Amino acid sequence: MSLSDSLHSAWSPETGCPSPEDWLRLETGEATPDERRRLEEHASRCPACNSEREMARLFAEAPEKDEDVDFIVARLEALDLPKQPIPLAFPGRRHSLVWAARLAALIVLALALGLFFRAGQAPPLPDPGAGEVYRGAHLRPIGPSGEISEMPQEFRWEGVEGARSYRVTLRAVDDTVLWQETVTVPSARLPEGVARGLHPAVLYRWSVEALDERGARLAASEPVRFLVR
Amino acid sequence: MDLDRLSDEQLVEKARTEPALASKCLGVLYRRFYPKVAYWCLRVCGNRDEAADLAQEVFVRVHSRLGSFRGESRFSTWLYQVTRSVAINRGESNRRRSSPLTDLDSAPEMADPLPDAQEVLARAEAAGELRAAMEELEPLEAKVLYLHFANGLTLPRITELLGLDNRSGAKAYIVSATRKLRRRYGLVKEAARVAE
Repeated sequence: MSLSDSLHSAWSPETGCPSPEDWLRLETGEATPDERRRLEEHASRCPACNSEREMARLFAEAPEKDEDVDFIVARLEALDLPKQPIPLAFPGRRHSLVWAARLAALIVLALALGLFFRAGQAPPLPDPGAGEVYRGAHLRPIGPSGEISEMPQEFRWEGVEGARSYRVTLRAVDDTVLWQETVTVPSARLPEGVARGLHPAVLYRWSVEALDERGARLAASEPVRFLVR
Repeated sequence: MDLDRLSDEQLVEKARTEPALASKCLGVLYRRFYPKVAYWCLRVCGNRDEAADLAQEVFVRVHSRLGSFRGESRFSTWLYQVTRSVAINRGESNRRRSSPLTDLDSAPEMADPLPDAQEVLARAEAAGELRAAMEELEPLEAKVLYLHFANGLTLPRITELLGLDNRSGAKAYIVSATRKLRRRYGLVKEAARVAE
């Protein structure tokens, strides 16, 4: 985990801080009076959130018209993005051939990955002894793993002694976090909204961390790859 | 149809459901936000070429991820999430490439060599320890440290953003914060040695 990630996770909604989007709502005047009071009070005693508020304030501000902004806007116009192929979730007949070719490439990739998963099963982790402290150790994920036939509904792993909570994270291949949740039992249900955003024949990775009562990490799993056929 | 009259969310929905209009809808939508994102990037980067690169990266990401926008929040909120995330990743990799403190003139009033704040903070990686460590800092020191290391802003940017008018600006706050953290972690290490 990078230092930036560590700082962000130390001051996150999971540790009782408002989200960056809450700060944006405050700065755009969308927060209710109660929310406003709560957020103002939090910002007054939390320097990290104060910084997040600063970033949100910049976004909420009406942009000043000047030649540097015009220069950047011209560069954006030059990208001509709206004419680029529409993202996968957007059905479009005009791009059907392009997407058919991409789909074929994904199927080939899926087959190759299927072979990879069959050939490269990781050796099982050794069982820890009774009462053993897992600090710094890895914890063992149960599933989903490898090539599967249906979208996973649940993530499961073996519990860790002394853990008060577990933080499970689902990532795309480019490391973008798609979902993260902290739970107190060694399993977590994938929200339907997140599951709907997952695509067949695309590789995803998930991992889980065991946390103590202060939120410090006791153990972490290796990332587990899975792909829905 | 006058697409300019549609809300941001309606434009996304129309682009999704009417492929023939998608390009026009996205054109209207993106042009609404180009100045806002351009301005934000400019304030965060300070340099218009860098800001233009960042803004382009933001919209390329927005376009490629538009399928994941489900209308559960406002489009502008989602756009802010993407913008912030791209800027943080970019700031983090820029900061890794260069020493965090090389972007300011030397501060002659500082007696110590420039401290490696990253190393000190990395030692306190666990969330609880990081929070406890930062709580011991002055609010402005902690704010500068967070803007630099979490949000990837350069020290001159932070100096300008927070209107710091002391001689060495944000650098002075990073230096004093790191000294305090070092003192704390030095003591922790010493205590651990005694306990062993």
